[in-house]
Amino acid sequence: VSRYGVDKVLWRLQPAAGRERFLAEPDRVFDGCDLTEQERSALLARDAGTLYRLGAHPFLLWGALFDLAGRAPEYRAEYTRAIAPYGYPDHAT
Amino acid sequence: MASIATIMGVTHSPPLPKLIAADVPAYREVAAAFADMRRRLAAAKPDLILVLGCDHLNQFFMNNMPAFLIGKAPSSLGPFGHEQDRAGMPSYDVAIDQRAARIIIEEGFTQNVDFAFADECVIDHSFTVPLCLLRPEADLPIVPVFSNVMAPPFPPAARFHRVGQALRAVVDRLPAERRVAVLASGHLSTEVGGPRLRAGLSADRPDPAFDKAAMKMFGDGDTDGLLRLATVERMAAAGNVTSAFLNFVMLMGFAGDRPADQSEEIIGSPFLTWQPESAQ
Repeated sequence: VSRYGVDKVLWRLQPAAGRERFLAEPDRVFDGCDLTEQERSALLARDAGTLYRLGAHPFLLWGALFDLAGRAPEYRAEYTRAIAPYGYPDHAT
Repeated sequence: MASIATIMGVTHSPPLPKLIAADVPAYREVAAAFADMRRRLAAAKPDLILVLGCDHLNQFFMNNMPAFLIGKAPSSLGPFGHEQDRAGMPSYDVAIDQRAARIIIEEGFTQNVDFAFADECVIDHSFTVPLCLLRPEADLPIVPVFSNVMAPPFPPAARFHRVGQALRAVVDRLPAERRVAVLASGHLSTEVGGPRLRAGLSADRPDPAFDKAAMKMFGDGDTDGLLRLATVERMAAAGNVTSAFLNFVMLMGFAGDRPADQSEEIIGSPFLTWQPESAQ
């Protein structure tokens, strides 16, 4: 598990340009980030539950996935359903 | 010796400026409390606002994370574009008093606090929300103090309190004609990105018992109680980003552990005020 690598990708998704790059050429956004195959595929799938369980920083994870969901209010319930089973995993890097 | 114009602490809940501007009935009481505080800040006639805020993993990241940093850029404009897009927040463009910032860094060393500094910095919503609501004119220079409350490990409550004491000693050494207002930006129990995530309105707190206990401690001047309450474990139980509460613990250190003259929670929004100790 490489929490810092996942957080670094999520951090790069904050500016709109980073999200556009992620949609067009995700490998460019992953460049220089130490990721396992599981983390890489969870990021590509925007898999909130897996990323949360692996210890992604919740603030970064929610922000990035909410933005990628077009900030649709109904995404909130989908996100909390996905992460709820995992409680509060350690997210220290 | 500079004088302290006033000491205040408020929330930086991102939706508030929009809710207040739209005159949403449920938030009128909060709007009135901010308006009252804005009038009191103006009446205190400060010429500098020292703002104790944080950065939400926007510019400071785990590749290089300062525990406490003084912004000493010529000016700062915030918040970040993605923050504005998420919550519809207004921007704030303000001068930084670089001379005061430098004195604070230099004198900090003599107080055993090694502040990091940044000659480029963006004030995120931690700074812009309180400043937009309390000094919308943006005509007073600030010195921003960025704390790490987001990326564990962050400093414990006792260190925030000690840094608040050090800042007070340092500010007292600013030139005699200066009138400094101190404004802490934080919040009570809060969850973002965890299972208790709510719609982002400050009314919906995850742990009202934490909030009530904390506000009473400020009103009682109970620093020991605050330090016992604001442990990593208890704050996490109250909500996964409750740690921005630590900026209020820093404020208590700045205020010299005196009971706050105002310690009021209105629909989840904390309002803290300490009047200056004497007519200076």
